[in-house]
Amino acid sequence: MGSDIRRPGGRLLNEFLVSLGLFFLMLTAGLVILGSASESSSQATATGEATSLARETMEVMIATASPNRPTLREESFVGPESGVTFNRVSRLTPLSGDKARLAMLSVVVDWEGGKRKVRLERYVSRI
Amino acid sequence: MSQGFEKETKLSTAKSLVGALLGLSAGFLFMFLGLTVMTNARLLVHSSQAIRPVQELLEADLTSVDRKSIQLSSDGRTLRFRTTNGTSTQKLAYLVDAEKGVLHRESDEGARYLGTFPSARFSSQDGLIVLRWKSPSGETRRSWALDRWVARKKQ
Repeated sequence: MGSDIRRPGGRLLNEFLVSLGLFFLMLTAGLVILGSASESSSQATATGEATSLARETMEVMIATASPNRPTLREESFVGPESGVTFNRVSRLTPLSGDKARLAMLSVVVDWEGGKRKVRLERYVSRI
Repeated sequence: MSQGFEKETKLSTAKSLVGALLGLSAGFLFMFLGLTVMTNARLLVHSSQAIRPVQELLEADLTSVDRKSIQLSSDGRTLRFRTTNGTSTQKLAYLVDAEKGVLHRESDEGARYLGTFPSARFSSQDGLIVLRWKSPSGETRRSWALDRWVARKKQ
């Protein structure tokens, strides 16, 4: 009789503990997925902004930079959507030798201390 | 025995109820957070992708543009130019609706919707064609260097 009373109680406690364990297991997995999605979303936004910044810089350099004068500019920008600080290095290098008629434009945008980087390069005529 | 079962049943019912409510709340909270993250991601992707139709068409048009034919209205709402492909010449216009910010491309084939860009304006400076508009994160601009895009035609 007594064991009959204890058995349902014991089974319920076991069920409760197993359910609790499963709950935390699923919660952990869910939080990991959520964190991963959130991180991917932030990275995609930052990468999009960096690409847009690099592209914009390249267009402005092509239009305004003098291809015979070497230039090097370093600036920092804060992304309006991501809030990430981007370091932009734009460089114009007149080439020599058999490529003396060309100049190389390069734009490097990096963030997260240089861990992530977008680089654009383009050759323009010096004539 | 029956008393024991009754007590056990009441307690287990309460536990089950609390557990079910906790589970439901956690589930709803998690679902809400997931939806928020995914909605934000979609919105951000959408805002960065909105300019793509304009970019693709304008860049393609600029490769065959007659540079001297580029005309910009004083209010920046209209960009007109002529393109030449072999022997065929086409007049093109990029028009911004002042009220709605809707950007259209007009050609001989008709008008084509390119997107909605609030307060959009074209401008021209230092050999650049610049499109500025207001996005949720502030003023955004996209530039096209004529030396880059028009030069392709000569190559």
